Amino acid sequence: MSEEMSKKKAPVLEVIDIKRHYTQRKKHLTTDGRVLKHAKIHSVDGVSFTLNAGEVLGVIGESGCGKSTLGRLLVRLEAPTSGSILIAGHSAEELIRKDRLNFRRTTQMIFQNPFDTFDPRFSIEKIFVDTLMLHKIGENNGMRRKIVIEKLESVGLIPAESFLDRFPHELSGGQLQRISILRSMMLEPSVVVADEPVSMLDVSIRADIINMLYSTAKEHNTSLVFISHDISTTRYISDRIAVMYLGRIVEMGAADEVATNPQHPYTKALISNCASIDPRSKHNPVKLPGEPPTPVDIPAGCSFAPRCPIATSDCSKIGQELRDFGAGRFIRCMKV
Amino acid sequence: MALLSIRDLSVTYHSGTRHVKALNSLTLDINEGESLGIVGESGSGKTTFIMAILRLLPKGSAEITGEAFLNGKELISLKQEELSKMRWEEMALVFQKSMNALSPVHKIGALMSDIYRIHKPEVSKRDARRRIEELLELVNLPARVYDLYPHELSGGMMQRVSIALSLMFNPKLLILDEATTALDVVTQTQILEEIVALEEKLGITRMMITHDMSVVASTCKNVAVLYAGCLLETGLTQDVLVEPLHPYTQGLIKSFPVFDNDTHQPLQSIGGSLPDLSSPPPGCIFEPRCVKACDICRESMPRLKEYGQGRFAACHLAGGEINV
Repeated sequence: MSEEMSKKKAPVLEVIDIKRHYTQRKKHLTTDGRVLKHAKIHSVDGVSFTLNAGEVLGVIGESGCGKSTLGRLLVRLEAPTSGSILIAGHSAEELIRKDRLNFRRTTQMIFQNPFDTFDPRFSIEKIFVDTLMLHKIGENNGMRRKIVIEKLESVGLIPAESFLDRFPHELSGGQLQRISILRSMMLEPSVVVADEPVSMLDVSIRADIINMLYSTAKEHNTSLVFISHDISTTRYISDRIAVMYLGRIVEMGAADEVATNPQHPYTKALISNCASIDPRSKHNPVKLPGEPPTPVDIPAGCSFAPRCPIATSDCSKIGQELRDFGAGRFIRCMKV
Repeated sequence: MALLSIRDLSVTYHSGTRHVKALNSLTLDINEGESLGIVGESGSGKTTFIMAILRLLPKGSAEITGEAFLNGKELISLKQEELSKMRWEEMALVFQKSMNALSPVHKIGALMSDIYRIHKPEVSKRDARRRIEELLELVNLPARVYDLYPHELSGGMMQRVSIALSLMFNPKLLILDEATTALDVVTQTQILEEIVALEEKLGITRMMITHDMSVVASTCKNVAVLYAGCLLETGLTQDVLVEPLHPYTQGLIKSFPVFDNDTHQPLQSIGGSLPDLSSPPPGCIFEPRCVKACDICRESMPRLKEYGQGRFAACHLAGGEINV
């Protein structure tokens, strides 16, 4: 939906071939019985994309595909092994060296478990006021308190005063996640990474949180990276979707396009396995043989080849590049 | 005949001066060979219910009343020795986090043969191993898993081990407590398919606790909707999920993102949160969050009424008896 707008503006976030490798200290036993010493874990293995202002990019994939590591790299909770991240054209590395506080203000993260996000000893008021004070917003605590009350009321936490004196454990998961989103958005960051923000919450309240996240992001024209394993939810909130497998993006494109017309065999399998709540609809899930592999011993050639239903002998020999199919569609498969 | 019939089962947790009624007069039947999905948000009493019939609740603080018959035997008043025999052999449970359910310091084989030989002490080690390798094969695991530790397996493999463990004595009743929730979609569908196939092969009755409605839609014949310890609606999955009678079920379905839906219909939540069960509302338990609530809902808790074959709902407004 933001295609026309995006052409005019410079990307807020540009990620160029970032990699994050970890070295394993323990010996690693591969599935075929070999023992590797100091094995390299290719958590994120060459990811590139751009994100425009106000755009929502959904990142989906199985656990262990590197989507959370990608999120942590984007907000610089970890440094990439190689590659670079540009925020509004400036290197994130430089930005963080020059002014760490300002960098944190422009990139924010929303975590999965809101109960782990906050210090349990701090009241909600302290959580907010401290953040505002750190970033020098508002002249005194009275003014800051006013800002906080206004913000709380705007997301339906009413009466706001009653929330200020409470502690995180006194709130429900949904309320606390709302506060977590609010705290991130309050600083008007240009990039927000939300790592599975609703998977801890009950289905009955998920919709509210998703809607709130979407509307606040659009309101402030904030770019959002939405990391999730839930394809339906990701499609609902995202403008574009990137599908990750073993640390790499295998398919990327407009959300509806990827969801209704998947091209990569892995995306096809993922989407066919996404069950409907209508018991009348029959779906035929594509089966993938084998276990999801660990990113330790990445197969040569296409990393999906060992499980791919349409792989030929060439697939396991020739490495695949993410190819541009026009209209923002990228697919990493030689068969397409 | 019903394999498992629950009659007026209630569980109250006592802590200090607070008495929390986590399960409120649940009455439910599961026929042999059928599958029942129990859905509801967290705190609705799903886990309390199965822990009560398996008698795994702490004795001091949890008070259980009512009856639960498995194959004619009453579980709540059963003696401890008889109960131990029934566990695994007649009813088996697969937990959500198998990584926590399996001992980290024992090999899979040692763990499984331990359980096998407690129930069948006369069996030799070699026979036990043969049976366990059979079980592992049944859930599509290689035999080498026998000599591995849990940490050497992936989440999906561990879940398969837990399922193999639960099938050891061909139990009549298999209970899955969010057994596939932590898994990836691809692995989840595969494991669910395997379970459904095994069920037909071995004649197992399955009871499945989940908050994922799509899992129920694709694998369960019947569904029961729990809310705050009360059964609000039950019936065939194809009826309940397509034409829900209870406003809570309707809300749950509306808040679930539908993938096939091309029109971007906004998702709707159910406002509010679970009531405090130590002082529940005087009328319908769902009334404070219900969009359709009217005067009668604030006065009395509706009873379960039958609407067609095996279809029950507890709502004053269901079936259009009182129009608003």
